[in-house]
Amino acid sequence: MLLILSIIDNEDDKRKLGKIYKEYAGFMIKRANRILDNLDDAEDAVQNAFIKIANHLDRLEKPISDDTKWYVVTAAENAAIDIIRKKTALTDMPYEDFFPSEAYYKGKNRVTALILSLSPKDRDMLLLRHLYGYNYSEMGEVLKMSEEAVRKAVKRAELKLETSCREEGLL
Amino acid sequence: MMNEAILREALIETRKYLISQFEEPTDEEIKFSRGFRRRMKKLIVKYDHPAWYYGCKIVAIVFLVIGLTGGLVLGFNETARAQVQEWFFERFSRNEFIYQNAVVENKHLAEYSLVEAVPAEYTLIDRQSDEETITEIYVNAKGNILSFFAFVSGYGGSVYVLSDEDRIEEPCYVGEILADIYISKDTNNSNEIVWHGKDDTLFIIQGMFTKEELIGMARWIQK
Repeated sequence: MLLILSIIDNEDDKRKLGKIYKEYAGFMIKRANRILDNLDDAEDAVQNAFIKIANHLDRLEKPISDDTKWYVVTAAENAAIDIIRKKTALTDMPYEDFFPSEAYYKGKNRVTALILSLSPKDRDMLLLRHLYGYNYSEMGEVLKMSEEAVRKAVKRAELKLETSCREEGLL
Repeated sequence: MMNEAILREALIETRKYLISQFEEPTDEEIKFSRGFRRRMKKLIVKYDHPAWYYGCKIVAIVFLVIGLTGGLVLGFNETARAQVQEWFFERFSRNEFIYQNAVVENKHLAEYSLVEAVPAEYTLIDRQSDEETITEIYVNAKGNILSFFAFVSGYGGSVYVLSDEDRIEEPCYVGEILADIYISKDTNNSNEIVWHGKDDTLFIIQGMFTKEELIGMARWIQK
């Protein structure tokens, strides 16, 4: 019976997931492998990421888009970090330890430059909340955090950005 | 907090920059291990094979009907069996098996048929074929269904949608070709073999058969 129920499922969602896999699985593996330095673990991370993505497919309007690309690669990054945390049993290991510095932005948007100077975690908080429109509960699911912890983390990220903007005379 | 529109514009630019930093995967990274591909195919249906999806769906509905009406009734009651077969024909005649928006790469399907390989007690009750799809449905006196599907495969690597929590998945060989076989834990349910042929055609044979019998039929197709 489970077999039947699984077949009579949402066809559109499965097609969407198929497109995402075909287009972005390579980027996800690359990113996860960069963090984990182990292809087997990277594949586990991507698989875990896809399970999460499958649960939030309604949030991804177009399977092939910048929206989706950033989201799925970030999901793979987070899944990779989870694996490292489990392996090392260091639940509080700093998020940014796994990321090379990426703040070499040469564009003209000064607020963007300030966002990029924030930690990867703070950036993700702002992107998910203010660009992707996630509520705190949805962010908690994606980031494996409690709703309250997400609320605080978002507030903290917003405050950091605001402070930087004031210092730069942008506010 | 700053103006939401300004923040949003900055975040769009941020995302654009971050995406530009995503490195292209190497050949080794996108090769993906067999284990990974097998696990992923449980999660995803191949989006460019909706015909296969519909095929599985129809067969699943048939099994659902048989399950709900009682396989035993179909086994002993000729009228009931005839009704199910009639219903099955009706579905086909309404062209529910025809699919849309399939992405294929100008390939055409060879004229595959399982008819000479099926056990004598099975009768062909329906065959549908076009340039990209072949389906054959056989039934035996007990009401057991044997289904055979062949699809043009636009891309390599099948992605299998059916949950196999109730089934054991194991690799096997059809000649030199690697295939997946799904054996039901419940002996009342059908087993299935799925493989990509030499010409990249995707094949499925499903029915109340042992692993060896399914492989035997698959080998016949690959001859």
